[in-house]
Amino acid sequence: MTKRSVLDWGATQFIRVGGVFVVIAVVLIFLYLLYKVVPLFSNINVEATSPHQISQSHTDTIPPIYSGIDEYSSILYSVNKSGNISYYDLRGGKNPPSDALLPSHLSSSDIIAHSLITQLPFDHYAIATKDEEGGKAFVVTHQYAISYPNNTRIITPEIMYPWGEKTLPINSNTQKIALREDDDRVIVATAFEQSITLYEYTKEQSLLDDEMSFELEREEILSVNHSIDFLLINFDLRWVIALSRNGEKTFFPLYKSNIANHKQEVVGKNSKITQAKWLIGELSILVGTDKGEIEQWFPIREQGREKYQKIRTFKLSKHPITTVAGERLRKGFVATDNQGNAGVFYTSSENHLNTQKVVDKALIQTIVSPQDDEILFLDKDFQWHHWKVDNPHPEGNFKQIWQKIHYENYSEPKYLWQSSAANQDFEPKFSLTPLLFGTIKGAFYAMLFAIPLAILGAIYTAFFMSKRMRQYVKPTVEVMEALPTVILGFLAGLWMAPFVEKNLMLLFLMLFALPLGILLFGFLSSKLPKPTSAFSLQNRFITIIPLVFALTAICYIIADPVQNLFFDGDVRLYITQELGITYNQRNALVVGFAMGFAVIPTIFSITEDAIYSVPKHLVNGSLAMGASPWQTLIGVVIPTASPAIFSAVMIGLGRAVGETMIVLMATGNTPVMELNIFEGMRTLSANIAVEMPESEVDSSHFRILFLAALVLFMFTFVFNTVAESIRLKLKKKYAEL
Amino acid sequence: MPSLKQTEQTRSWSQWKKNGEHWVWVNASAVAICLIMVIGLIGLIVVRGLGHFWVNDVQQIQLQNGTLWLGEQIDTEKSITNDAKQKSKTQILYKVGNREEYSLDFKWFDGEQIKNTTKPEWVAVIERYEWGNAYGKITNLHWQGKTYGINEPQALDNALQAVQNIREKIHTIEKNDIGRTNYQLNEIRLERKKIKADNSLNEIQKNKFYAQLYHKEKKISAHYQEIKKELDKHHKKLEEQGYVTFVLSDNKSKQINLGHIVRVYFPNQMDVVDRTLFYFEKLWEFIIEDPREANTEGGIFPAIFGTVALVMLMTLFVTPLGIITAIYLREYTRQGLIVRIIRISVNNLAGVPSIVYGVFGLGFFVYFMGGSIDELFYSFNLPSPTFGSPNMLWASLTLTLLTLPVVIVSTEEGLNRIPRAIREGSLALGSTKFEVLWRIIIPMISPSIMTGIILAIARAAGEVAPLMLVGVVKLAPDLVIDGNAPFIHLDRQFMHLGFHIFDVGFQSPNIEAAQPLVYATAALLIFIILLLNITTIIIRNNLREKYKALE
Repeated sequence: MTKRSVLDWGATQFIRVGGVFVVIAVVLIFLYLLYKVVPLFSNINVEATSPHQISQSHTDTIPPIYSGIDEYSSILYSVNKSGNISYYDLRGGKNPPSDALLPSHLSSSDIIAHSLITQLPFDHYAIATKDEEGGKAFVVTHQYAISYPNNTRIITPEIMYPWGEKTLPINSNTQKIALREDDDRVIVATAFEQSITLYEYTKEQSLLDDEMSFELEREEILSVNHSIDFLLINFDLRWVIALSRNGEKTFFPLYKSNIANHKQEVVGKNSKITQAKWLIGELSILVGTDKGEIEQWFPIREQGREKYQKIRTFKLSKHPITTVAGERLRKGFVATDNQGNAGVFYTSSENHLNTQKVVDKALIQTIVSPQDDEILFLDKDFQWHHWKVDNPHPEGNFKQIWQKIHYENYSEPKYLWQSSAANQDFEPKFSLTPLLFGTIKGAFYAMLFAIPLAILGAIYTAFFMSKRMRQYVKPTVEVMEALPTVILGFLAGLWMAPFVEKNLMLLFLMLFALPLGILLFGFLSSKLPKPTSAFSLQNRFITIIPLVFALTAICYIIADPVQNLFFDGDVRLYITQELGITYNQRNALVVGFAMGFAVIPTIFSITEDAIYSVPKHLVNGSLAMGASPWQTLIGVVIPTASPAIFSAVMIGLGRAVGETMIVLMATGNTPVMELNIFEGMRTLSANIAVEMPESEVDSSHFRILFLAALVLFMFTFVFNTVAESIRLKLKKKYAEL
Repeated sequence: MPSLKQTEQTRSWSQWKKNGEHWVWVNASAVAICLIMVIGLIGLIVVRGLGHFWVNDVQQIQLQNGTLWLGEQIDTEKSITNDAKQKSKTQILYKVGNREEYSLDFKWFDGEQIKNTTKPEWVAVIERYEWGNAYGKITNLHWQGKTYGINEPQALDNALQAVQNIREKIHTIEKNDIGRTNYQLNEIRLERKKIKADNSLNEIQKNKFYAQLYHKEKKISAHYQEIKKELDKHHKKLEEQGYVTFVLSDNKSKQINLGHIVRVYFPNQMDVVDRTLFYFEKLWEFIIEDPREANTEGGIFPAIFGTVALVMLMTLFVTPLGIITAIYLREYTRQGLIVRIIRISVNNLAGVPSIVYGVFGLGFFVYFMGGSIDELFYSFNLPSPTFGSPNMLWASLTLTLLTLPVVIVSTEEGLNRIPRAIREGSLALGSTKFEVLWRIIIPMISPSIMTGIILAIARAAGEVAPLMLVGVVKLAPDLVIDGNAPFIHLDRQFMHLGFHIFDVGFQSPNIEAAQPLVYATAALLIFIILLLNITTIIIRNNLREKYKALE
C-alpha cells in the first residue's frame, strides 16, 4: 500500500467515526437525562441482614416497653417494664453496661405510662410513675456521647433528665400519658378510663443554676365517651387526640379557649384501631387498623373550623397492624402486621414502596434509624431483625409528578410546585403539572401572536413581493432570530411590561383599529380612478408602514377619551376592580408578545421558503386559467405548501416551549394554573434555570429538574421529528412535480 | 414569482372581497408590522443604549415650596389616576444623584410642583468610585495642602491628573503583583496537598519537599509583604491628596476626597464638540474598564473578554466536528437510513431547548466528567473541586453541542453547491477521495464553513440560559487568560455579556440606575451579533454569485 492510500483509508475511518458523533450526542443527551431520572421511580432496595440474637441473654429486658437507636445505628437500647435499660452493640462490639431509667430518688416507683416526645436530636420520653406519694411525670433523654480515642469512634449511651430532679405531680390513676413542652410551657395529658386530665404548667429556668421551676397554670378534665387507648398531643400544642381500640376518635383543639366545647368526635366504623402515631410534623396521625390498613388523618379547615379528616388509606395486608413508625426526616413510614409483614410507604404521593415478610411471627416493635436508612423490627419472641434500606426518593412516583395531591395544610388536592421553604419540616411539593401548564400557556399566547403575523407575512413576501424587495425584507425578518433572547426578555420585563400596563387601552384599540383601518384603506384605494404603484400588490406593504403609524397615533389620541367614557378612566383598574381579574405586570400577554417575536422568524423563514419553492408551472397554469393571484394562492400554492407550513408551526412551537430567558424575565415565575392572559406563570425551562444551580446533587429535587429537562427534550424531539419528516416528504413531492 | 399586475379596477366591496384583495392587504400588513417591530426594537435599544453616554444638561429645579434640586431629566410620564374626573398629571423623573444623601439616585417630581427650571453654568457633576454621581457647586479645592478657588480650573485638572496617576499605580500593583503572588501562594498550597496525598513518597521525602515549599512560600510571603507595604503607601497618598468642597442644591456643604473622584465635568458649559469628545471617552471607558458598584457603573470589559474567550474556545471544538459530520453526510455515505438518522439528530440538536443543554452540561460535563478528572488528577485537592465545578471548559463544550447543527447545515449547503463534475474530474485524474476532499473541496467550501462558524459564534454569544448552569458568574475576579503560567485557566468561571444583561437588569438592587448600562450592554451585544450576521449574508451572496459563474 502506498502512503496515499493509507492516508485515504485513515481519513475515511476518521470521518466515519466523526460523522456519527451527532447521533451519539443526541442519544447521549437523552440517555444521560434518563439515567438521572430513573432512580426517582425505581423500587427501593431492602437488604435484610441476619437477625440479632440479642434478647435471649438479657431476659430481664423482656418485655421491652420501648426501644431506640443512635444516630449511627450502632447502639440499640431497650427499656423494660421495671425500668432497666439494656444496650446492644449492633456492630458486634461489646455491649455497653445496663442502666436504670428511673433516677435514684424514684427508683422504688413503678412506671405506669410512657410516651415518645421527640426524637430530635435524641429520643425524649415522657415517663409517668407512681409511688406512695402519688403520680409523677418527668422527661428522660436517651443521649449518646461520642468520643474518638485512637481515631475510632466510641459511642457511649447515657440517660439524662432535662428537668433535673424535678417531677410534675399527676393523677396516680394514669393509664396513658402524653407530654409536650415549648420554651415556656409544659402540657401534660393523662388518661384514665374515659377521662383526660390536662395540666398546663409554665416553665422557668433559673439563670443561676439551670434549676427548672414549674407552676401549674390550669388543670382541666376532658371527658370522652370511649375508652382511651391512644393519647397524643402535637408539638405546637394545638391538638390533643384520644382514640379507642374500637375505632372511636376524639379531637380536642388545644388552641381554642374552650377546649371541651370544640371537640370533634368520630365514631368508629367497622375496623378497630390497633396503633396510632404522629407523622413527622405532627399534624397528621397514622392510624393502624385490624384490617391491615393504615389511615392518614389531618385537619382541614371547613367553614372556619379545623376538623380532622381521613385523607388516605394505605393497605399493608389483611392482618392487624401491629406497629407504625414514621420516618425521621421525611413524610414516609414503616408499618408491620401480626404475620411478620413489613411495608414501607410514603404518605403524600401514596407511594407503596415495598412489602416484604420479615419473619413468620408477629412484629411488636419497629425502629427507624435517624438517617431513615435502617429499620429494626422486634418479633414477639424478642428477636431483632434488621433491614438496610436504600430509599433516597420515597416520594417519586407518577402521582407525585403529574397528579393532584392532598398535602397537609391544604383543604383539597392540588397541583403544587414548591421546592423549598424556610422552615425545616417543610415538605417539598414537586408537581410538574403547573409548570407544564405554564409552558403550554406561554407557548399558546406566543403562537397566537406569532402564527398569523409570520404565516401571512411569509405568504406576502414569497408570493406578492418583488424579488428586489424580498432580497432585503427576508433577511431583515430573519435577523430577528439572531437577536439574543436575553435582550428580548429584558425589554419585555423592564420596558414592555410597564408600557403595556400603562397603555392597555391603546393595545385593545389597535387590535381592532389596525385590521379594520388597513382594510378600509385598501378598499378605498381600489376606488381610485387610476392604479397607483404605491397600492400595487408588490408595493403596498411599504404604504402600510406609515399607515400603521398613523393608526397608532389615532388610537393613542382616542385611548384616553375612550377609557374615560367606558372604563371609568383606566382599563387597567377596571379589569381588576370591576371585572375582578387579577393583573400582574409581568404576564402572559407580555410573554406572548416577546416570545411571539422570537418565534416569528422561525415560522416565517420556513413558510416563506416553502411557498417560494412551489413549482412555478403550477402557479402559471392557474393564472393562465384566469384565477386571480389570491385565488391561485389559496387554490394551488397553499395546499401544496401546507405540510411545510405545518412543520414550520411545529418547529416554532418547539422553540416557544423551550424558550427560557424571555419567560424567566417577563413573567413573575409563580407556578399558578390560570389561563388568564393577565397573570404570569412559571415554565419548565425557567424553573430549571432558577432552581438548578441551588439544588443539591442527586437529591429528589435535582432529579425532578432533570425530569423537567427530559420532558422538554421529548416534547421538542417529537415536534422536530414530525416536522422534519413532513418536510422531507414534501421535498420529494416537489421533486416529482 | 411571475410578475403580478394589479387586478383590474373593482368597484364594489363584494367584488373586491371575491378577488381576495382584503387578504392581500392583511398579508401585506403582516409584513409591515414585522418590519416595524424588528427595526423599532433594534432602534429602541440602540437609541437608549448609546444615548446613555451623551452628556445631558443638568437642570436646577425650583419647586413651588421654594426647595431647589439639581438633576438630569430622564423621563416624563402621565401618571395613572384613580379618579376619572381628575386631570391626568405629568410626572418627571430626574436623576438627582448624591445617593448618600437622598438614598436613591432618582426622584419623581409632579409637573405642577415645579415652578421653574434653569440651567446654571456652575453646575458640576462629580463621578465617584462609590455612591454614584454628585451634582452641585464646587466652591474650592484643597490639594496637597494648598487651597484653590473656583477661578483656577487648571488646579483641579492637575489634581485629578495626579490622583489618576496614583490610581493607575495602585491598579498595576493590585492586578499584576498581588495577583501573581496570590496565584503563586495558591499553587504552593496545592503542591503541599499533592505531596500529602502522594503515597509513593515516604515521610522523609515528604518532609524534604515540605521544607522546600516552606522556603519558597516564605520568600513569596516576604515579597508579598513588600508589595503590600508599597500598596498601602500609595493608598495613603491617595487619601491624603486633598478634597473638593462641594455645595449641594440644598446648600449643604460637603467635602469629597479627591481619591474617590473618577472625573469632574461641567455639563452646562460644554458645547457640542466637547460633548462629542466626552461621549467617545465614556464609550471607550465602557468597553475597556472593569465594572464598579455592583456592576451598575463603569465598564464591561470582563464580560466582553469572557464572551470572546468562550466563543473562541467553542469555535475550536465545533469547527472540526461540524465539518467532519457534514462531509460524512455528503461525501462518505449514500442516502439511506443512516443519513436519515443523522439528519433527524442534527435537526433535534438544533431544536432542543438550550436550557436542556445546560442541564446536560451540568450533569454530564461538570459533575460526571469534571468529577472524574478531579478524582484522577486532582484528588489531592478534594473535596474542593478543580474541574468538577462549572467553568469555562464545560461551558464551551456545552455551547459546542448547541451550535454544532449550525456549522453542519452551513457546511452541507456549501458541499451541495459544488458541481459533481469537479469531484469526478479530479477522481478521474487519479486522486484519492481524501485528496479531492482536502485539496479541492475544502478550499472551495471554506466560505461556507466560515459562514457556519460565524453563525455559530453569533448564536453562542447571545445564549445565556445554559451558561447560567455551567459556568457564568456575575462577577469574576480573575480573567480566564492572565499572566500566570499556564496563562490559560479553563477551570475558572467567567462573565458574559448576555448574563450581564440578565443579572444587572433583574438582580441588581438599584435597577433604575443600572438600566441605562443594561441598554448599553444590549446595544453592544446586538451590534456584535448583527455585524456577524450581516457578514454571513454578504459571504453567502458572494458565494451564490461565484457558483453561478461555475455552472
